[in-house]
Amino acid sequence: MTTDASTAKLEQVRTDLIDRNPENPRLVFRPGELENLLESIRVYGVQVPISVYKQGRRYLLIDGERRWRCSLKLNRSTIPALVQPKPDALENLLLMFNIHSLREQWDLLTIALKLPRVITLLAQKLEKEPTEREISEQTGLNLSNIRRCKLLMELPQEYKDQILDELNKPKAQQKITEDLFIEMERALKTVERAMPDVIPNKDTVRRVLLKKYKKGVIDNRVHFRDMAKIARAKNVGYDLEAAEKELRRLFTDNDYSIEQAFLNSVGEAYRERDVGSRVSTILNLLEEMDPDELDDDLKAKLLKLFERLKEILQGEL
Amino acid sequence: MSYQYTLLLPPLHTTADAAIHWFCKNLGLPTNAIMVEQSIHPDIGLRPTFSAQTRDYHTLCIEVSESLYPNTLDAFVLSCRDKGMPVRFFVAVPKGTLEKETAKRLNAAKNAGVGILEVDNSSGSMIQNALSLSLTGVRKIDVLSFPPKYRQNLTQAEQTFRDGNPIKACSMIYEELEGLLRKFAVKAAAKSWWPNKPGFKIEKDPWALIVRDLEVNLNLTSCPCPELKPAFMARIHGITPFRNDTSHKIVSAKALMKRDSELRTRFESAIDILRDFINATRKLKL
Repeated sequence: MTTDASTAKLEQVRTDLIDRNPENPRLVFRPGELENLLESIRVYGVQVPISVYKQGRRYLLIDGERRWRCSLKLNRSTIPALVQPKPDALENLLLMFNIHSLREQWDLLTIALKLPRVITLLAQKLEKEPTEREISEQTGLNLSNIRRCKLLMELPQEYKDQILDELNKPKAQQKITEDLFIEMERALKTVERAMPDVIPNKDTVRRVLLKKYKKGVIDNRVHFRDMAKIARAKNVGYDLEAAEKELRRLFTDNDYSIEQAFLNSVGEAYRERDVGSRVSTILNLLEEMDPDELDDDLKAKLLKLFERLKEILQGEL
Repeated sequence: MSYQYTLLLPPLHTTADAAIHWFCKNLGLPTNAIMVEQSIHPDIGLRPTFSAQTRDYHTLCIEVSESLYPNTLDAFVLSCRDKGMPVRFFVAVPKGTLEKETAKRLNAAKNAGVGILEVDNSSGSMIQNALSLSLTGVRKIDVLSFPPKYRQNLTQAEQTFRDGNPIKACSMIYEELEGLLRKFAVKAAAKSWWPNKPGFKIEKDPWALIVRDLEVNLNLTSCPCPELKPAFMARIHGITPFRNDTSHKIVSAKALMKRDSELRTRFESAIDILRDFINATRKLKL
């Protein structure tokens, strides 16, 4: 990057000469957050300069849109600003990404909407498709967030619009969130990979699942992970046809929850696998222990376990 | 018609458009009179969502908000009041907001003279009207310092003032004062405290003439109201020219500012004179 803060000049810039940066990934400013800042600036002024660059006779924002909006709203004629040299298109975007990834987390969708442009510009610069690691290095985003963004990028536009509408609401009122879509898309990808025939039309399935979520039939977005587990029935040796049948019902029956589908199919198998894995761990730990050194509390617990095992395995003994 | 907003958050754009439409339709404002997010005065620390000059020379300011009367607007109201600016300030909220808000916020808006409009795409309802902020700084009448029989009228006068009709409010106080003064004049004439009374018809002749004559000819040695000295009568005489002078046509915003400032002073001054006159003549049980 050629632009850096050391070459910037601190100036009082006229608020009416500043324009918002069309490349700013941040699209959502919530009223409550702005009101607090407005009051703070009204009382204390702008304590941290914004960053801008000059474009003709006007200035374009790099950082500080909320401070600028509040200053303008408060009819302040000037605002302290670091005036930086004009960056190129990629630098412009990366500056904003880096400033924000270090300071505060933007809404993921707003990043996801800008990420394709970053990837295009990076591809031009690198003369190849950038890897996730390269995107991470340039934008300051971690790999996990880049993957989550990619899931959102692939959503049809109508769902992106829905999320954007929700993002404009105060956090507590948001229901159809980015995280909901991320969980759902991850699970759907797993189902598509493991049982492609179960999803003839992904969009129809999305609609059904969202409807259930809005109705409360699916009451926790984490339940989508169980949907993926049904698709991975093979891993626990469960009958694949039965699992497919459950998923088909889940994708068509508006009142059938993921919890029910999970319990009616692979639930027991996963529980058994889980118990098996924990028992192996306990056995390994016990093998390392000296029986003479066991304290009374542990002995009591092991005895209780022993009694329970006897009950369960009565027929086998 | 959709307007371009830089500062207003997107979820409120439709509310703002609907509010503009409502005001244009109901106040007969041309759409090109609407200024979006513009400064109304360099020293006023808020750019309302939109503003316009009305035909009666007021500046109509509307802040579009998702809450009824956010605290941040107090500073705006105080600045306009301090500068005596004839601003009518409304907060426009999306339909349904009122149900979620407390009566406390609505009262805060009312006490500040701020109007409330609830609006959606198809209709709007004015929850309360806005008072010209050049008038809202009017001093609250301490009605308990008046005898009970005056309190209702005084409360009404103050309410009338705050509800946006200061001319009528002044007139209500003048009426009280005039009525009391004529009663005093009748008594003064009957008791010969006013010996050189010209041939007045006390109930009908101009108030100013009666006051003027009392100022000169009231016999303070026989009248048991020693406070009614010529200087006090001159105070009353001083406001008589305004008795019928309050409805002159305003021809500019500057003239309106001047008039409102005067009305506020006159209203407060008339209240003080009325109280003093009542106290001065209390013994007479008028």
